[in-house]
Amino acid sequence: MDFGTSDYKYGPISLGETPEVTENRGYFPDKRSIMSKISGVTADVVVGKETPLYLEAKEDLASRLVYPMRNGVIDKDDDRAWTVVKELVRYALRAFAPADPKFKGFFAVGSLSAIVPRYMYEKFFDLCAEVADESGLMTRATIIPQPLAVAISHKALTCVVIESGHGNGQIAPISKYPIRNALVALNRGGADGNHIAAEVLKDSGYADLVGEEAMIRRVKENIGLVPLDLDKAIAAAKSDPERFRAKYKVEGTRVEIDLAENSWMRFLIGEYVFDPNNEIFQSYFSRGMPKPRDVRIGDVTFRGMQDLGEAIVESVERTPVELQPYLYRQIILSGGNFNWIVPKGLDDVAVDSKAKIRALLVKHGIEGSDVVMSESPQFSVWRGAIVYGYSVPEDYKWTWERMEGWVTLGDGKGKEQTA
Amino acid sequence: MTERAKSRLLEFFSLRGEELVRNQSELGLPPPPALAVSDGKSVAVILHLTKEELLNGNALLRTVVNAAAHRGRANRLYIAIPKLYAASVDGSILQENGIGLVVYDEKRVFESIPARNVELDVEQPQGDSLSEIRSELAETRQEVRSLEAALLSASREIKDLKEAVRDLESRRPAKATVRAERSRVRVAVEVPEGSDDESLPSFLRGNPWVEVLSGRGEEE
Repeated sequence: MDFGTSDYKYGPISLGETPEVTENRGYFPDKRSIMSKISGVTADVVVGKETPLYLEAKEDLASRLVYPMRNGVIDKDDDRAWTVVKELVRYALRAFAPADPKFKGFFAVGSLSAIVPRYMYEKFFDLCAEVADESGLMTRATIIPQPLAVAISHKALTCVVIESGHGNGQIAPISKYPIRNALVALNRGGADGNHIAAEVLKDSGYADLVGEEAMIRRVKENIGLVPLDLDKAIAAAKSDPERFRAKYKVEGTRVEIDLAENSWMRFLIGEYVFDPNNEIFQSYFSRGMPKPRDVRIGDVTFRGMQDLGEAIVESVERTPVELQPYLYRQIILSGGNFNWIVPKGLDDVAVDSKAKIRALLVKHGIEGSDVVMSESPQFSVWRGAIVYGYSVPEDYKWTWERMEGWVTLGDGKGKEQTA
Repeated sequence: MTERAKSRLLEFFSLRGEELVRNQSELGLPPPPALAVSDGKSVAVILHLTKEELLNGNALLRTVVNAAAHRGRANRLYIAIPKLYAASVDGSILQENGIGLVVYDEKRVFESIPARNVELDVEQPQGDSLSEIRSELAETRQEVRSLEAALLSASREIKDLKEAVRDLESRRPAKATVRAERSRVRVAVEVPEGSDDESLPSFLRGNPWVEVLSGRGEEE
């Protein structure tokens, strides 16, 4: 079970290469409404692929639709978010429950962000115990950090995994175990790319479009470019605006965006995600664009303005010196925030995420790193979780010291199904 | 079915005293890749299910129906599947039909659902006519005679050899010198093949984490 920011990937090993996917969200229907009474909705929360069928056209829709993992972390007292997680666990187990009456229950592997505090582990195990007690569909549970799952699915025993999601990023060195004290977290992610994309739209006369987050994300993905060197890219684009012209027509609408003479700004969008320290961004901060700040969640400080190269170096330098060359050797980029286009004819100034990370590492004195993109970013965490569940011995009990092993649910023998 | 899976299944049944029936098609049993094993008193047929068949409900049903069609020729019927697909099989269907389920993975093979043993009212595989039986009996007698002759010849040779040894011992000096030499013996070690089974998903095949994680807890 991979609890991603937007999607929940789940399913047993027998699914093969790809899991089932549904949105990581739950809907709390208004049970007092007439429509709910007519349609016989009795559940407190609805999750899964049929959720849209229960949505009501009400103003309070946003408050009733809960995305529990928006930032990877759920507050201890956020009961609605935990209710959604519990329902998603139950949903996955029911979807694949065998009819065999002798079935004793699944061994469930949950994958959470590497930066989640200990109480999230405890809450997750508690809700697993409750689901196991109610349904008998689960006999053991465990949790692995998402970067470890990525390393496992890529068959890399020693590497650095960089996971960049919607709200934040994690740099996690792995050497057969996740090196927890070397974890570096960034308070910067896809949402920050959206902020600078919105500013670019405003500056180019499309202020009316910035109210819709989905629209801004599309613009970012279709117009934004990552420069190898921002200053050189801006100079090149300003000297030949037509070559770098950014035009984007929103499919199915009359909306067409043309940055025209401001097309050099498309490089700001990509640069900001990797390194927001260029002087040019100061003018946006002074005009009110939110500056990524250092925040502390649980025991972890999330850096706002650290560039990704520096973050990798800081993380690796917290590991033993002997290990460092091996970690730099393989760097795996994971997460939707690393998908950037490189248009034909612009590849002398625009680069993909791998090249940008290599360039940032060179800037910090590290050369020769093999940077790779996750082969299947959407499914790699689920795959790693499957390998973990398949391999770890069933009698290996959970230890808080190592944060691994199986938590036994109930008496650990499961119970035979009654139906 | 891969050769590795086949040999693992045969080894499992062999440990229970059941050997492969080589002329299974002639005996009216389903042809390979189905396996037929016998302990001399009863016959068991093992049908292996592919991943595609397991994930396709209709194909699974067809296999079960086909298996039931062989009911009159085998005392026991089994379906064999890799362990990782065990959760997708509804064991109750097999149990209702008296069909056993054998599950295997990298480490072991086990009988998850025992097969119901059915007494057969079928012709025995010895042949169907008295003349054939007589002819086989004559051939057997002939073989016994030739074996007796070979045994007699071997006994004579052993007797000759014993006499030769006795003769050599009588000529040996009273004090013999024994010299020990250090020698290096090359030991063949069987290396586990890891997770290269083609029935596994690509991210499991040859994944070094399988070995690393399998050893978790052993170091304590």
